[in-house]
Amino acid sequence: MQTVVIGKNQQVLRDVCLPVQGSVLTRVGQFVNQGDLIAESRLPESFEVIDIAAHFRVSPQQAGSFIKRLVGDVIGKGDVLAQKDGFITQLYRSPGDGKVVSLREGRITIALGQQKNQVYAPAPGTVVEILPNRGAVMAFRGSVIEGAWTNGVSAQGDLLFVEDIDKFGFAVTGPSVKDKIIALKKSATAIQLRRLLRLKPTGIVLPGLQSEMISLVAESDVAVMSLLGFGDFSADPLSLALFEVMKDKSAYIIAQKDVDGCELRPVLFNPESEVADLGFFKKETKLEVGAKVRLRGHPYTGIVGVVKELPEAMDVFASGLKSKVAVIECDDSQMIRASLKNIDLIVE
Amino acid sequence: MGKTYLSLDIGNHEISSLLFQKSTGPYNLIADAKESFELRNPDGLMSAFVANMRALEAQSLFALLDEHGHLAHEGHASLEGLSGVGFSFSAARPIRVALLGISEAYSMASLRRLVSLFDAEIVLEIRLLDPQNQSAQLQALSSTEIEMVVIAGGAEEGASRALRNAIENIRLLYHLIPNKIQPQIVYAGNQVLADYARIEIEAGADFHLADSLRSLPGEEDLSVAWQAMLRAYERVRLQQFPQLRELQEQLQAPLVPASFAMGRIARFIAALNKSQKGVLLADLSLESCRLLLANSNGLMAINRQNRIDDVTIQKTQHYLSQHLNKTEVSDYLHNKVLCQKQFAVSISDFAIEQAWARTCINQTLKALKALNPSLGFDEQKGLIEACDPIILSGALITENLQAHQSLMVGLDGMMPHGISTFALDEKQILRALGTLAKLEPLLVVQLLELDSLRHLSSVVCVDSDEDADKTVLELEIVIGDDEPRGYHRVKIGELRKFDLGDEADTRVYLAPGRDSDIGMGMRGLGGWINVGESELGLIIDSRGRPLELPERAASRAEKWRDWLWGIGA
Repeated sequence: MQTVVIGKNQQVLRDVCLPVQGSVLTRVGQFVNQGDLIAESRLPESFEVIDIAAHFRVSPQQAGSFIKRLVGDVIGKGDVLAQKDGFITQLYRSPGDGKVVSLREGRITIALGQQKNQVYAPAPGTVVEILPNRGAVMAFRGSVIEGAWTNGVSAQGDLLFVEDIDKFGFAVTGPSVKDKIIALKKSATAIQLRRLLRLKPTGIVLPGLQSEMISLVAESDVAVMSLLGFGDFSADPLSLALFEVMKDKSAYIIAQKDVDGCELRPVLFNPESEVADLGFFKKETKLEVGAKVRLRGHPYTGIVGVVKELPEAMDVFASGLKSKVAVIECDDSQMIRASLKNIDLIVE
Repeated sequence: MGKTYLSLDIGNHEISSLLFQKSTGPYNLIADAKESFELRNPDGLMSAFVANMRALEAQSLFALLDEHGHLAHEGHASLEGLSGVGFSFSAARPIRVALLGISEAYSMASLRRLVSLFDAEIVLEIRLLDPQNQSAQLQALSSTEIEMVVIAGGAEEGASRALRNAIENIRLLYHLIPNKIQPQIVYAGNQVLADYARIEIEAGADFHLADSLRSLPGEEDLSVAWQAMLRAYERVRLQQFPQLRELQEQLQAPLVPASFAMGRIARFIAALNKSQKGVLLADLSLESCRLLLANSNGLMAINRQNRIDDVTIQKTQHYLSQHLNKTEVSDYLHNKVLCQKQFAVSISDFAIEQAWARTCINQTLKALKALNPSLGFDEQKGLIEACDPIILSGALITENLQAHQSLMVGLDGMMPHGISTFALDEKQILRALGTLAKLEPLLVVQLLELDSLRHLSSVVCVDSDEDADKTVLELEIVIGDDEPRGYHRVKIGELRKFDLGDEADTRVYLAPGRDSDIGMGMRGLGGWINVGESELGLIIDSRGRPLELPERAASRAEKWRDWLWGIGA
């Protein structure tokens, strides 16, 4: 059964790693701040294959005797790579700073320049495991709301909670959103989202995103996180309560991929100074009577309730399909029979 | 003493296994089990495997695991043990492949067809005859994340300079560029340069040599490279998912892609097929659609990732039996990707899922056609290539759909021509047989004879240019000797179902109109056919190709509903 973390004093683990192999620059147990370097790899910026044989108009075998460098030589721009003596000495000079990586059949291959690929801590946290040559697993402790989708951008900023987007001033003279993460109670329309993006906050958290807006937010450098997925939803009461807790405090949107490059569920996170409950004395969250759950699927998406009954028999739904169900009592005392497949267990 | 064979498949979210045994009679399927796990979680695999084996043991009463929890093979000290194990991988994440060929016409098309059987995503293509210098070629190779490189092309006595330069670049890629996965090199090029390539690239066990794909001009034989591709495939997967190594040690079996295993069986059935028609296997999961079509010309295969984009959303809307707007369709599909286990509660949700399944099959056929220009397929007219049987499998088809819904997904997605038998492979028996075919060919033969599939229906598709309300086909149905013969007429635009009762064999005489084609060789030609026992009986599809559908979305949805209800009653 899928779980979703919504609560104070929580711990979430995330891989922070390079897409290719490199050097890990941190150690287990180290506390790192947002933006601290975790791992880096250095790759040549470009390669240049120089055909000395063709340049000097000699055979590949002859060209070997004109090459003045060995594999591994570090070279500077303008350094002589090959020289053919004669009435007029012909030289071939390096087009840039780099290193000779191959000599074959009268050709010199040089790796030019250097590009660094670096990964940083997306939020303050502790390194709990090193992923050799790739990065580290970090633990983030504090108030956590696990989301369903992001555009892959992480962000940091004070949380600005907007209850009614219709009354929100979109003008530059309205509430300043610069360097802030805006959390919305209800989904924004396409126009509202466009206008919000134009105000350049660091991040936007909304209950649901219209799937037609994916391409727009995918291109944006503003972090966009949807709590419940795609559609027109209102935020669930537990997330709303945490928005209130995080309001005006420093918050982080963490959008990470795992070591295999698969998207992990994003989190909205506010670090807390108190020691996190690591779960040693916590009751395991499992589906049972009394468990708190959140529903998925139209028209119940985002509704939170408590499991009252777990009938053995399967229910037949309007689609004609059968599924085991949970009887859930919602906050407004409404009873819903929901398929077990459309329930997220809440970890709080 | 009997013989017992195990076939095990690893998916993204479950391990599934089948156990076959022969004691006194022929081989039988004696147990099947599935166990949920997450492939992304390295710690969950072995415990899921043990649970899966325990489930098989409980069903079959055959001891698979010894006292240490290890799989027992023949020759085990205290247990009878398994005679052989097949091991396949059907998880959706494709292998990132770079193709290097001499030119589009000579080798690139062949390379694309070759890798399509091995769950490949082509991330880079380099044509060596293109006026791209060696630096640009190396730059492209180094800036792309590559897990496998396949090289082909070059005539034995032809110019070799371009190929030698490419080999040099592959060497640099292999030794200089840090990659997540050590790339595997498959060389199926100019055989004169094969040794040079092996020595030059210095990739040891990561270098896989195959014969040239085109030993004779104009003739393509992809099978010469299959063994090399299988070795490379296995090494990539074991690097991607190191947890598979421990499992493989227990299974003592090579890891093969599910597509390859299914391809083996498709070719086998095609070889047995007296009708000279092709055999089409369609395996549809939420992540990808796999199609394998075997006929006298060979095997065509593709494993295409299902993509949600404007084209597929529009297509899904086209197939919808409920009137829903684009946003509703798009939101539902995107949410389904976020949570794959999401359950279709309403009629609308379920209609989207079925329409999506049709779209995936149709789009994959289109991609198969792009890969194999000789395939008889047209997006409007459907699958012109004669196929019989058509075998459907995969979660999207077998998990929630009833027989008539599964049939309609296949029928509408493919729009076949002529006469086809539709069957459902609910337990993925064909994939399992494909993994075991090399170990015990008799098992494959006997299981296919036993008819382990669910027969959905025999479908006769009538292609006709007749006007509305005109009869395009007359039928005479003979059920047993004592039953009265049934005479029926089918008009253009109809989808009719004829119940044939429980008779194992029914004879049907088909008499198409002068301008109607039922795939018997020419328009107007009919004849007797034998129709085997099936769940839905005989279906006559005279809706025409392309299907004539109303422009208005609401009327179109109603039409789809009518057709579905017409055969679902």
